[in-house]
Amino acid sequence: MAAFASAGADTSPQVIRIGVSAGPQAEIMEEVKGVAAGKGLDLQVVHFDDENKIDAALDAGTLDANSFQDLPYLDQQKQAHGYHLVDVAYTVTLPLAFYSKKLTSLRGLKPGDTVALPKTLADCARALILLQNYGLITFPDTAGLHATPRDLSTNPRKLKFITLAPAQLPGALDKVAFAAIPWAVAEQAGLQPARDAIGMEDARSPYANVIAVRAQDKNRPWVAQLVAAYHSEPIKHYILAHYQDSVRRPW
Amino acid sequence: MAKKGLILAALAVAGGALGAVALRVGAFNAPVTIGPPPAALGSPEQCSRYSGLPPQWGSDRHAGMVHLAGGRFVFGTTLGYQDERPAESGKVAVAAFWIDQTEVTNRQFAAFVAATAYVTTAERDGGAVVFHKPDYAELKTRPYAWWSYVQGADWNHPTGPGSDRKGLDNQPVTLVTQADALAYAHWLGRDLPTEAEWEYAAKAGRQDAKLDEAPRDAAGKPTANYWQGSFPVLNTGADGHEGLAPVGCYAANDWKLYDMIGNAWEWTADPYSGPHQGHANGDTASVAAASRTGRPGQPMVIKGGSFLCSQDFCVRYRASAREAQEDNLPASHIGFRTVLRG
Repeated sequence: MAAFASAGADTSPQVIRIGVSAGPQAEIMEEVKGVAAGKGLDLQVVHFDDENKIDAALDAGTLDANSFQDLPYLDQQKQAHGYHLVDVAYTVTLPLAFYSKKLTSLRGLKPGDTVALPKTLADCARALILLQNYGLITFPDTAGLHATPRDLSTNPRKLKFITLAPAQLPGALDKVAFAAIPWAVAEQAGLQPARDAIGMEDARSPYANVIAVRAQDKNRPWVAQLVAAYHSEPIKHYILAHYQDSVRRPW
Repeated sequence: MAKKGLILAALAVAGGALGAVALRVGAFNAPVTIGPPPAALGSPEQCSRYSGLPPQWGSDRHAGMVHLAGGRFVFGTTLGYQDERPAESGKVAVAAFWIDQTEVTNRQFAAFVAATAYVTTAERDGGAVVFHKPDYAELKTRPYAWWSYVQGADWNHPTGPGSDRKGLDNQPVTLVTQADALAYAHWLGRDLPTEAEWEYAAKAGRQDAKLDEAPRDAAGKPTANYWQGSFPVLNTGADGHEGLAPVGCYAANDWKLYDMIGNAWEWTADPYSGPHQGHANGDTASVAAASRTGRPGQPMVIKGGSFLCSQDFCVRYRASAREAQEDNLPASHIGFRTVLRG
C-alpha cells in the first residue's frame, strides 16, 4: 500500500505502483525502476498473471499506472468499462510477424498459396493490416483496425486465408505458406520475429504498447518523471541489447 | 557466421604483383602495402575535390587499391546482434589480397559501362528501391515509408526518371545488384570480397565495437557517414552529410581503407547463412514484395552499414555487423568495393 503525502499542495504518491504483465513489459519496467530510483522516483512494479485485471486495478486506484497493453486495447477497455484512463507514453512494440517453414521471402509467394491468420478479431485485423502494408492485399480504409478477411477489396495473388486459434498457428507452419503469429504465441513456440520472421511490424505500429494512468493524474510531476525514466538512454540500450529488435522501440 | 568463400591459411606476399612504388605503412607489423600512388583522401576538403578516379586508373591494374598480407582474426563478435556471433572458437585465417581503398565510385562505374555497354539489373527490370526522408504525415500512411520502389530509378538516375548523377562522380555507385557489382569486378579481373576478407580488412587488426556504440572521435564528432538524430525524420547531419557522401571524407582505418563503416552498405560474395537477424531499418524487401513478382533473390551478405544506420534503427556500425540483401534487389544505400587475390 502506498503512503501518500499528508501536507502541502503536492499529493503525489511517494511510491508509484505500476502494474505490468509478465515478459518484456515486466522485465523492462524492472530496469526502469533502477533508472527512476536514481532520479528520486520510487517505483513499485506490481506483477499480474491475469492481464484482464490490470486496467480495473488502475481505474480503482490500487495502481498508479500500468504498462501492458496497446492503444487499441486500452480504447476498447475504456469503452467497455467506462474507465477514466489515458495513455501518456509509448513503451515497446511486440511485433506480430509472418513466419514460414516454406518461404525465405514474401516474394516467393505463389498464386493461390494458403496463409494462416489468428482467429481472434483484434489479432486478425492486425495481421491483415500487416499483409496490406506488404502490398499483398488491400481493404477499404473504413475497415480501420477491425478488418476481417471478408473486407478484402483486392487480393492479386489470390491468397487463400484460414483462421486458427492463435495457439494453433505455430503448428500450422508445416501446412501453410506462412502464418501471421502474435508475438506472445511466437515467443511460446521459440520464435523471435527479428530472427525468424519473413515479415514483421514496424516499431511504429498502431499496436505499440503504452503507459496508462488515470486521467486525473496525467499532468502530475511523477508521470513526466516516469516517462523520462522509461525513455532514457539506459533503457534504450537495454531494449536493443536484450531483445535485439524482436521487441521494438517506437520512440 | 557464413564461412563460404573463406580462404584458410596461405600467408601470401604480393611479390611481383606490386606496383612500381610499394611502401609499407602503418604501425609495426601492419600488413598493408600501398601500391600505386593513392588518392589524397580522408578529409571533407579532400573528398570534395576527388574526381572519382584514382591515380593511374586505366594504366595500373591495382589503381585505387592497397595490398593486405594474409592473417588471422576473430571473424564475428559477441558484442553485436545474434547473427554476428563468431562461428569459430578461435581465429580464422585469410589469405593475402588487394582491396579497393574506397567504395567504387559513380565515375568508375561509368567508365565500366562506357567500355562494355553493360546494362544494370535496375535498368533491365525498370526500377529500384530508393530512400527518401518522409514527413510525419507520410510516416503515418504506411510503415517503412522511407523506402519506395521507384520505376525508372537506376545508378544513372538515382532518384528516378529526370534525375541524373551530375556532381556525383565521387560518390559510391549504388542501385546496383550483386550481379552488377560482380560484372564490374570481373571487367577489372577482380572479384567481390568474401565476408571474411571484407571483415578482416575493416577490423584492421582491432577488436569490434559494442552493439550500439557509434563511431565517434574523442571529441564526440562522428567519424563515419551514418545517421545522427531521429530516424527517419530528423538527421542532424553532425557527420557533415545527410545522404551519401563522396568516398573518403573521413579518416581511413589503420589499413588505409575509407568508409568501411557507413556511407553505403557493400556487397560481398557470400550467401547469408547462420543465425538470422532482421533489419529494423525496414527491409527493402518490404516494398519489393508488392512491386516485383520475379524470382525472389538469394539472400547475400552486405557489410559495413550505411548513411541510414542510426541509434534508432539498423544500429550496424561494426565491422562484424551484417545484413541480408536479395542479390537481385538494387537499393540506394548499397554499393561495393572489389578485391584481387594474391
